[in-house]
Amino acid sequence: MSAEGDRPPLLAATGLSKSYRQRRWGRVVFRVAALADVDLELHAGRTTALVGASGSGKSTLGRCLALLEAPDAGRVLLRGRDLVGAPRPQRRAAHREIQLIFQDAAGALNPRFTAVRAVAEPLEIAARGGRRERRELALETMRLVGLPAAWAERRPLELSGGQRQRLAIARALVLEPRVLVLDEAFSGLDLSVQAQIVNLLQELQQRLRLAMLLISHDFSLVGYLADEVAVLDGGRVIERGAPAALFARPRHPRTAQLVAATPLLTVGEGAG
Amino acid sequence: MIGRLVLRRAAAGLLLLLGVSVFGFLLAELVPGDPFDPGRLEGRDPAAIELLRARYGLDRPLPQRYLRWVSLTVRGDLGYSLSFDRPVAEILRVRARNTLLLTGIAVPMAWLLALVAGIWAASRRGRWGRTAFAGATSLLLAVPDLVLALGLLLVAVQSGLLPTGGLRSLDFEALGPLEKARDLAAHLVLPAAALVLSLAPRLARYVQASVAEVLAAPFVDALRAAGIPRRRLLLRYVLPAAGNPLASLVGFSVASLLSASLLVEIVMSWPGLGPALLDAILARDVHLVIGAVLVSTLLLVAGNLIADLLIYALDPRIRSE
Amino acid sequence: MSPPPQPEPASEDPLLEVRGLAAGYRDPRGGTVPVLDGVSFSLARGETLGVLGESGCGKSTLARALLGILPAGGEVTGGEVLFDGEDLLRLPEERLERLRGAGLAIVFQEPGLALSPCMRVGEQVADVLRVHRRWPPRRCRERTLELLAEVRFDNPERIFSAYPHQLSGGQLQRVVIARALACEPSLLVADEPTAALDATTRSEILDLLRDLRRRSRLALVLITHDPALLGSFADRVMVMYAGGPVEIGPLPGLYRQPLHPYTAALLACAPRPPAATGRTPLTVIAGEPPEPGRRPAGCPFEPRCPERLAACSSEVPPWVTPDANRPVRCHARVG
Repeated sequence: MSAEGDRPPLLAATGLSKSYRQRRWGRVVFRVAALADVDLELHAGRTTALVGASGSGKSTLGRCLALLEAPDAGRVLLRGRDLVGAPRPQRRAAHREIQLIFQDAAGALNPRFTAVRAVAEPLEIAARGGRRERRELALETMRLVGLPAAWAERRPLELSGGQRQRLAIARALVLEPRVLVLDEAFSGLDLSVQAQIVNLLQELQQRLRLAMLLISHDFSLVGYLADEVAVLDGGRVIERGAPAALFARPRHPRTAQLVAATPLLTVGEGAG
Repeated sequence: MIGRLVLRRAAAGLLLLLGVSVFGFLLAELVPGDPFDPGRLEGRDPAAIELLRARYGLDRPLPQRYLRWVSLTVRGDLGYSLSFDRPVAEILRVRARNTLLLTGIAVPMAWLLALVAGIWAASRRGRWGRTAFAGATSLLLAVPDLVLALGLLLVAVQSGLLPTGGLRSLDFEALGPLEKARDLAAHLVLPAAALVLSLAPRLARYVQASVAEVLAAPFVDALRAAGIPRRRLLLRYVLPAAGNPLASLVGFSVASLLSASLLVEIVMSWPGLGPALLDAILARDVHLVIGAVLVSTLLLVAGNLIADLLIYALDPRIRSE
Repeated sequence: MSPPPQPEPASEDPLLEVRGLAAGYRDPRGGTVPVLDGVSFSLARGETLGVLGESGCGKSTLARALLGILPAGGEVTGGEVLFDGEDLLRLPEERLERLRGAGLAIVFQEPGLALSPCMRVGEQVADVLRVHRRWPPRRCRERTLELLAEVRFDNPERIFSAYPHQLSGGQLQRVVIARALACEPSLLVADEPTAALDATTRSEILDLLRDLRRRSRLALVLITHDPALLGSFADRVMVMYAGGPVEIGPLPGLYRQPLHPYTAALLACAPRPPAATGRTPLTVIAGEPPEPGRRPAGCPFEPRCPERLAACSSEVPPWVTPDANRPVRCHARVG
């Protein structure tokens, strides 16, 4: 592990708490703590993974970090400056630097937009560059994620699932974010497609010094990609560490349970 | 929760009635002339006219007149009709009952026809059934209601099988109870048929579209895979699921039937709200016009409330909101 | 282009035998676009066959073709599906209706889309019993409550009267499984049954299926894109590529030493912990699988295959058996 302590984190959450009101069977209303006093740091050029059972608060944390949800308490610091209470323009600028890609992000694409239009749209919203410039930049970003220019005029329905997810990633990358939150972004993707996208993201991470938060239930992927893992349970971080050590010798019983419940692919020597 | 829904809808209905009454009042005000203009009421006791003017406050400014009218209306006094020379409420009670009798028969029949035809057309897999359905409904939709009503009248006159107008025969009072019912039914056939033929094709198209949509839903595949036979699938699963969009149409069907019935009632001289409204407008009988419009609005509000309750009963997702 | 018969070892007690199954979708411009071709395999009672393939390989079409519920425009264009000795493809619809849900059942990927939103979930399970068993309503209800308990609901009564929107994805999938198993079928086809669920729920559902399989000698066709899912679950795996099987074999042998170049390439894409020297990029398969209707004349994997031979681009590869129970369809494995 490299020395991360010397450098300040790019994005940090301190003391984040968030609860939801929940209805069950129509009437009973009670509050569920989704996050309880969570600290997390993301560093430029590094990948932190977030694992946990369903309802452990993973997605809520991801959404709070991407400024899509406001925490009840705590701070989200970008380069040391708090964003939760910041004025709108500053939040909007930060928004462009932190992008979230979720599972089935492709489903959120406007089915009537062509691929290149979908990628250029965030630029349009940010009022950046002229029409031609935006199109050029969108095409370049598409090339980056392995979508050839020949597909620029296709619509989402004319693309395969993997291609659509790449389109969603291109959309997130076009604003040149510094932080990527990947919330189950590879779930449901074929292994061969996942491999392509993961390689692409690693390349970009090295080139652009991206900080990545990988929210995933896939421990093989976490084991491969993450520099550090945080285990979330009931809205609290119960364990952190390097993935190899954490999966091999979980200290917290809930972590051990989680590891046991996840099927890992054991492929023989002949397959490599 | 259902209580809240009814309360909310009733409040909305009340607001609508209020709006309609204000609007009607203003319109009546724009009509030149005075309903109790002595010139139009020759041969009547001037003292009686003055009494009416005072009772309905025609000598006061508009807002006061309106308030007075409202306070009388909520007590059931809708004013006095000079063209019928009777209280408006009395006329409308009879007329509304007749219109309700007609629409109360035509709406369910139109729905029944529409459901049968629509479900049949939606569940056809071949092209023929669907083409026949589209052709028949298009044809009926293209024929104006007036032409339809006149056509039916023509058929009735030519065949001589059915009475061509009115509510009952001249010798009605002399008939026995069973014959009374038969007489009434015979008089109902033509206007009801005209209304059903005007409404059913429209409804059938909606039924077909929403049943076809549900049939394409993945859960239908899952049920087929579970071995649920086609007919059971259609009636027990697909129809209730298609019910939500259709139930919202119940309100619409009441509304469109009310407007269609105005025409049909006049053409077929069915003594409902339609002819009363027409007579009232021609005679500038302001109180009767506003009264008839209000009663129609009330029926409309009731129709929409029924629709809301139906949706509530059919869709569990709305129930647990 | 009918393939030579596949030297599938006849199991001693075959429940399902699929021979040369082909299916496609009618093209609005005329003709049929083939999606499945030459699918042959057999399944013994109580056995679990994993079907592994990436999106677009035709695995969902296979699931639906087995039960005769292809979506509009889809049609079976050839082959046989022998279930308990009867060819399902040639049965009249009423006979098939009686068999579906009773003899063989299916579970789909999206549990939320498998139940009617307007009916209590318990009623939907009970209805299957009513249709197939013709029991009185009371008995159907009682049996449904038992079934709900079998799929591990603590309070079957409450689940019975819930509507789909009141339940979570995992709960819904358990209801769907209860419905599929209501009439004790001997075969369950599960098409990505856990893909829409999160990790914890996923392992619960797999656990449940494992338990049910053990208790009732249920044969299972488990269709997925995720090799890890099958690793701990399937007895044998059939790997599909571009509409047809390329390799069939038992686990763990097939994962340890895949015979077909595609299987090897697919498994190699799986991420594994980085070596001490640092992270190396994941292995990828160059190119994209061919779209249906544009599949090459020879082996469909030929354009992406690292081991391609001269014959691969023009001749359909034959089934060969370098190992008695490991048939593979590849020119490079001949001889």
